[in-house]
Amino acid sequence: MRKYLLGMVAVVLAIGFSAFTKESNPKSSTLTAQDFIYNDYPDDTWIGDPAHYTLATSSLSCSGTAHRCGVTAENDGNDHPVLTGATIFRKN
Amino acid sequence: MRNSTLNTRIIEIISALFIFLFVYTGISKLSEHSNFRSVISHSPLIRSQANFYSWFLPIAELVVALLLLIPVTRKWGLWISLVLMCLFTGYIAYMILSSSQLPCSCGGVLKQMSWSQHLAFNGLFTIMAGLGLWFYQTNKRFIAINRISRTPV
Repeated sequence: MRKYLLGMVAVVLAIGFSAFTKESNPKSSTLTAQDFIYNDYPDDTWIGDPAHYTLATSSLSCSGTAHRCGVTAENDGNDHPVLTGATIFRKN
Repeated sequence: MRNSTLNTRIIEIISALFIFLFVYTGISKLSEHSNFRSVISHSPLIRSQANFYSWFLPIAELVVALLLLIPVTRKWGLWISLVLMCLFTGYIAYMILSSSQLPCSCGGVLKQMSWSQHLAFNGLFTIMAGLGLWFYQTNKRFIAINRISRTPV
């Protein structure tokens, strides 16, 4: 049993950390994530407002770092993204 | 005997670190599976098989963690860890060189790292996997030599 002790401690810590990370970001869930285009690119003024995003009909093609292009996030039911926990894509 | 005990402890510590890493990232990827699949579907290298990799990668990580946990299969776990880390490091190097600037398809808090930070992190773990295997081989030779010489140590 001693041979397994360190490994079991590592497993327990890993499960605890992943649960803690998920708890602190409860919106990152098991629901289906979708792509949303940010309507006001390259103006970053409204990046925090879900109403300024449109559900993408095809895969996002963003490549860069300068301004927000779109996000992958859960749909809030009104075809707008839940921005908490969203994956952000940027474009130059 | 002291060298053998030290080598064994080092191997156990390295294995425990990999178990922690793989269990944490595997569970994180599975718990946010749709998000993970969506991000890798944007990856230039693996987007055509995004659905397959979105399941294969986290499950492989958990299986390797299990192999590392069991002393009898630990050597195989270390070998597969080394291969996985080389693949992950190579993928990150490609993403940096291609300057695609896509978000990282990493699990848990690792996705908050930049690509360069993640490259350094993966490089470190790749070296650790190699060291673990080296200590494993050293330990085997040490035990074999003592067995042959029949000298108590």
